[in-house]
Amino acid sequence: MLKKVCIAVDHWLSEENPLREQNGTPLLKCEIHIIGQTALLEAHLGIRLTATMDVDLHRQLHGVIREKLDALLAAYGKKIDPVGHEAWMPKETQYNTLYKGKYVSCFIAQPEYVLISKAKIARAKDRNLMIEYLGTQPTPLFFELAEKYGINIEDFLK
Amino acid sequence: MKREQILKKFQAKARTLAAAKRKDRYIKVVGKLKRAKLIDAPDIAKYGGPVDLEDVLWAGTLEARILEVLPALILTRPKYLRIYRMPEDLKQVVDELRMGGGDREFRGIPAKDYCKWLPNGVGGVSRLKTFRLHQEEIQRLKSLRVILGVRSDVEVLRRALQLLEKSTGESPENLG
Repeated sequence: MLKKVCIAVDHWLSEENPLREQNGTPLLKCEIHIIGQTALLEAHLGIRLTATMDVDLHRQLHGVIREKLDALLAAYGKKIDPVGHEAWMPKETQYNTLYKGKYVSCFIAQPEYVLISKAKIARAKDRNLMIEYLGTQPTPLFFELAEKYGINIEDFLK
Repeated sequence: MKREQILKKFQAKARTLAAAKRKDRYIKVVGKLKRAKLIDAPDIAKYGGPVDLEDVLWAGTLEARILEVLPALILTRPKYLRIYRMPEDLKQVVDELRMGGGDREFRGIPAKDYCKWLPNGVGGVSRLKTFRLHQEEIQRLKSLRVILGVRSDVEVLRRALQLLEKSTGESPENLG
């Protein structure tokens, strides 16, 4: 679904940008960085995951692109979380490329970084997710990050 | 405690959670919320059959996001649920939202989280407000409805309000 949406934005910009060029307005390009539960869904963790219909983006987008992206996501019942970019993510977060087009690139945060972000914020709603992750397939990278950011995983057992 | 011992505890808890999430009750609840476009769950199909509120509340103990969207489901699609008895805490939240309020935490979910799934954002469901307009203004409203391709006059007014806010650089909060 996300890839389809990115392709649609890219096509739209391919039509929009020549017009902007004629008018002398700057061309539009964007990098979409997906974080949060949406990124975890894309990671296929082997856990039965659910997500609400908001998509968290780590970086803000140009208003026009954001509006278009939101309209395209709406067809799938999704919307951009207006405060998604405020979420804390480790500064070394690595992203996998989901789509690379002429004007649009889309990157998905790797699951360990998303989970560390959730572990650090420690919201009640993510407790069971952390238990399931730690009980199934925690990677060495997760433990490395947990140590770096002072996360005591035992807290999720309480 | 050593890491291996800790992980064993997590494994036991994770097995219990995974088993509960395989139950029909859970799958039906999530499927129903997926049908209502409130939850996304790639490995669960949409479900059109009946779901009891009691099951939704139980599933919410496994996945808090279910509780997050529950008030919106009750307010916008009440027929999606079979409600025999509504717990007092949920009733209070729903009643407050119906009155346009809602700042009470619901089973660990902050109000701002469950309010965002309501139509028209935070502030709850729409309320009746009456205006008297001249015939010419009513005609302009109707024309704009056609031009903008929106379903109702109130949608035209909502857009006009947004434009007015943008043009004045003021939001309702700033206006007091």
